[in-house]
Amino acid sequence: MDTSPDTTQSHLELASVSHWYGKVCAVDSVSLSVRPGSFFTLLGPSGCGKTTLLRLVSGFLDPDAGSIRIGGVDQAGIPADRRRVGMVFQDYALFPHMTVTANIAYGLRMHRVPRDERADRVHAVMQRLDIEDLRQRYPHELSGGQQQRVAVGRAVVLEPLLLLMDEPLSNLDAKLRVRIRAELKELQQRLGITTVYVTHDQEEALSLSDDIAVLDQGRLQQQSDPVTIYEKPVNPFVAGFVGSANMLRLTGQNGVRRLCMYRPEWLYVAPTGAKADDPNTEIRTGTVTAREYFGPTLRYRVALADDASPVYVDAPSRPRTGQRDTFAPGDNVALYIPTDGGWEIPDRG
Amino acid sequence: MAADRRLTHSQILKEPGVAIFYAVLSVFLLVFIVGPLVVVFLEPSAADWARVWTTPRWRTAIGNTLAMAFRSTATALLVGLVYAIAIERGNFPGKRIFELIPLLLLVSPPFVGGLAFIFLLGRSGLITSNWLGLEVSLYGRTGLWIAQTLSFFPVAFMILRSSLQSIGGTLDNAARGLGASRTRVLFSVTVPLLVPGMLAAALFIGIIVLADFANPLLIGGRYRVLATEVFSQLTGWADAGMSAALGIVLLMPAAVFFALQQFLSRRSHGRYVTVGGRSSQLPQVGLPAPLRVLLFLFCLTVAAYTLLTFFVIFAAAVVQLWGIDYTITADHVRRSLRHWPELRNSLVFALSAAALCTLVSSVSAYLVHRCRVPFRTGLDLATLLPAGIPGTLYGVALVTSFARWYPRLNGTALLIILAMAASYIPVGYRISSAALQQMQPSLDDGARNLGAHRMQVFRDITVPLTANALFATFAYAFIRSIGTVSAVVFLVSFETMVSSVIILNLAEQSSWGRAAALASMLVLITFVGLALVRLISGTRWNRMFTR
Repeated sequence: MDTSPDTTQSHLELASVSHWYGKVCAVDSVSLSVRPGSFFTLLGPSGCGKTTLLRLVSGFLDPDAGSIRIGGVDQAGIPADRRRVGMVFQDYALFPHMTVTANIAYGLRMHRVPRDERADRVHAVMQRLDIEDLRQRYPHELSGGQQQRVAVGRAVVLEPLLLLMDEPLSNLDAKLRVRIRAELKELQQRLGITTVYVTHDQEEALSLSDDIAVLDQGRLQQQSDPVTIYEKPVNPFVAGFVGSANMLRLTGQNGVRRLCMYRPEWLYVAPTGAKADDPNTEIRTGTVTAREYFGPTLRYRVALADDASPVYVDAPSRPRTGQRDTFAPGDNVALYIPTDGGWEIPDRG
Repeated sequence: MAADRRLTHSQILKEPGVAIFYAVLSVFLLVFIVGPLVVVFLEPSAADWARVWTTPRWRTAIGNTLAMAFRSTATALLVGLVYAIAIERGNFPGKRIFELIPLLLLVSPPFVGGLAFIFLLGRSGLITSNWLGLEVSLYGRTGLWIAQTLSFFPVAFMILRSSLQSIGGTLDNAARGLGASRTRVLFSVTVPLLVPGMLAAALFIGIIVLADFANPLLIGGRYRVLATEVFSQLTGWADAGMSAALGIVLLMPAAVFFALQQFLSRRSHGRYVTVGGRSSQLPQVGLPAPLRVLLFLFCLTVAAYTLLTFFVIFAAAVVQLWGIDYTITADHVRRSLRHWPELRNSLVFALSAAALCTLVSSVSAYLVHRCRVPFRTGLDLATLLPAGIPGTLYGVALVTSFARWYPRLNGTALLIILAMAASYIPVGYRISSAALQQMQPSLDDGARNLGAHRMQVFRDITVPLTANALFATFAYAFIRSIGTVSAVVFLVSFETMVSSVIILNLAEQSSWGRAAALASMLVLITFVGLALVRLISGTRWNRMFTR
């Protein structure tokens, strides 16, 4: 290593980073900063530039403008094989012709770590990841979850300043994905390593991250903690990408009309005829036009009498006695809107 | 997102390993492949060009060459097509043997077909004279046509067979389900789907027929074609200008075929076959019994003739005089052992050529497909170029250009090894490219992320994971090099004589027994090589022809 960065400051900082593929701008002047030890997620639809961003950080691509600093050190001119950045690939990229041990030791070999130290470090990592039993296995003999742990082990054995993960859960089936997700989070906390995670799955992003950066068309839309991203999106794109968003026009007490965003679970429906007992609740009438059953919840599509766009409302699928009933398409319902519970999107695009 | 996996142009300077490989490879291709081909164009004078078009002998040769290219390509394609359909859809016993036989012919030295033709269908041939009692001479147009058809149908078979396999049973079954009869399925679904494969095969065979040197030399008789005229002008008359001019004329149709081939393979990559995604496990729709019987008989005839081909070569080596005196003798074998120096040369040169070919083709494939180096398309084309160059022209090109640049190299082993290697670099390149494309690109990035630089990635990841491809390239180049004649025939000297050229000389002197004995040895070496490949890597050889 030509530099010895201050490891307490091992965070990532991007300043106005841009990258073009020919005439296509994949990353457009993105600035963001990642706190040390945090789990940071780049979230966005495919083609939003998140993978390009990851490749820029890992050194497989060079930015056309802007700077990338890792642990306070500018990365310009440092090639991919000399950056202290570990990477877990979407398909894990485990070397199929090497055993688990050889895979994990490969990076140490490339860094000319002496044989004895190499063995110790490989062993220590395997112990921490609980994959000692897999020592002599080849990647094709491992399950998806095991492959992932080996991939993580291979990356962290080099003690990188930063761990990058490119949609590492996308190759797993739905049930396993949820389990590995929890494992991953636990692992990251145990290792205490600053992690940048790429995904297009908002649920994954919300459940794993300390911070989320939402990207669209190469531009950073919002960077914040999961709750803020979900409840207080800065623009309609973020609002729509991280969940369902109902846009409702409300009239305040002073007569000012506001356009507010409501998540489906922030609203509720009841049989018509009830009266608002809470001054902060507005009631509108509408008709259920569709009902989707998700197991734990139901989602109603409600056509309002005074609004052209339908409203989506979530309700528990088995209401407790004495509470709201379930409705079928065609039923007339009252829509309860907590007037102070909506979010007024600042940038309306 | 394929493009961004490669180095940017500026990064090549940061990767000394890549830069060195790139530079060495570029120089190699420029000096030994592109350069000589440019120089050979400067060789003929204006007078030479004028003579090409006015001399009746050359005009006839040009006409003959083109006519043969169409005729033999058409029949070889037809035989290959029927053979492929028979193997893949005929559902008769002995499939594994029937599919092996064309393969044997495909990897055999190029003079095998011609030599066997003389023994079987020549003036005192086993079939014509001994069995049928005929006194005919098939030398010339008819003989050449038959010999080329039987020599090159395996190419069509290999390509069409893999097309048939990739079509799979789904579409046939669908057509059957829609009410088509079995015969109707064959002609309305299977054969039309084979059209792209047939086109590819036709272009492939066309180039081979144009370049074919051994068959015209052995059985062309007075029916002259350009490939042999190029040779006789240079070696017989020492007329390099005329030889080069004729070679360039020969190159024209070959270049057109080659360009078409490149165009088609780039455009229609997997066009028909991938519509349904994964090929399904549905059983094939069988063919009606009478058709199957016909196909079986056809296969049997072709296979029997092919086996006879090898048999007569081995047999002619151990009888006094083939066609006349069938007394068993060891004389020819004993006397052919005197050619050990040439045989040793063949082995050494072929091994060196195979190593060179493997190195050049795999490095080129790696640079083109995995690194963003400048002039990638140029590199790609230069590597594939020898596939479109008739061997005789390449021979003339090497001789004439090195006579200008560095005459001391002429007649040395280096040029011979080069000529051998160059011919098979395109095949090796295709094999390596296919293997690289099957490898996850993330493995490269993974290794780099762990601290390996490009050349370490190549050594630790690419080479081990494409080992099968490298081995197949090596074996293929070796097997083909050991028997090759066309380019080599211009380059050999007294010290660097190789056995394939000796065999042609012996045949010209009608020393059939010795020619057959020496040919048998080369054929046996070829077979052993092939067996080793199958044993070690299990590589499917037809893959080489389908990419």
